[in-house]
Amino acid sequence: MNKSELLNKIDQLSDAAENFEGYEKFAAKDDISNLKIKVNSMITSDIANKMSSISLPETEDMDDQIKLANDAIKSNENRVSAFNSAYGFLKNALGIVL
Amino acid sequence: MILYRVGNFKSPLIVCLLSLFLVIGCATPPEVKQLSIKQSEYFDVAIKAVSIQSDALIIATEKLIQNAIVNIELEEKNSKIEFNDALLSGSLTQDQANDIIERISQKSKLIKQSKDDLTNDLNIIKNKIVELKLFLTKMKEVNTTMDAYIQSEKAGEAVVKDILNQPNVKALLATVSELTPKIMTGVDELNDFITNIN
Repeated sequence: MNKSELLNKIDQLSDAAENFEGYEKFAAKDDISNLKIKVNSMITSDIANKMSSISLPETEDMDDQIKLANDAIKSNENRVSAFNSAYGFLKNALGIVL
Repeated sequence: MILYRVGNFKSPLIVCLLSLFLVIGCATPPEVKQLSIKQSEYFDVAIKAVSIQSDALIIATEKLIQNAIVNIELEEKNSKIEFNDALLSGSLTQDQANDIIERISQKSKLIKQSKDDLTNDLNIIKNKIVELKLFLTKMKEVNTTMDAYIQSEKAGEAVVKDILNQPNVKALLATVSELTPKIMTGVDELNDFITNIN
């Protein structure tokens, strides 16, 4: 039962209990008390459910992606260094002033 | 060394090769570099904001749980009185007495289960908050990695710097239009040259 169903049941029982007597009344009131306890226990369930619905990527996957990119940047930096050396050499060798 | 043997073909070949370099490399606009740095700051703000919001959520949840427990314990207290009154009333049948004992046991289990459920909800919420904070930290790491690339000197940036040192852009454009036909002949000459080497 969800919260609103429980609250309805509590109301129904409370109304009915008014007409009971003796042990029957005692039993009905005890049932109502249990329902109230149950309702209180569910007070944070929708918040917890909402938070649980948040879906995040695995941090291992993110770490892998980051590592791949860092490695690629390193190799690229080596290429850029080599490229710039080659370019510098070219400039000197050809005596260029752009 | 091939390049020294270029000799008469020097100009067009130079232009041809340098145009190649130019095409290969493009520098990252400074505005993009700046945005990348700003993004890192924006992430710090987001991380702080989520942290504060998460704290608020935990405070609110704990308050709700406190209230719920107060209510539950009130029910427990009232029930004990009712059970006592019923048992001491002396008007119970055997079945009714058994029923009361069963109810006492059920109520006790229910109260324990209820408190456990509330604690469980709080833990779910707290764990998810930890996950979320970690995720944002990782997102910042991703940005830092990308920023390292954006800030670094890209191939061809040296070429662009040289070109930007031209006295004016017009002169540069003039040079380009002047050079284009030379590039084409340069390619032919280069082909000839390569054939001749072989």
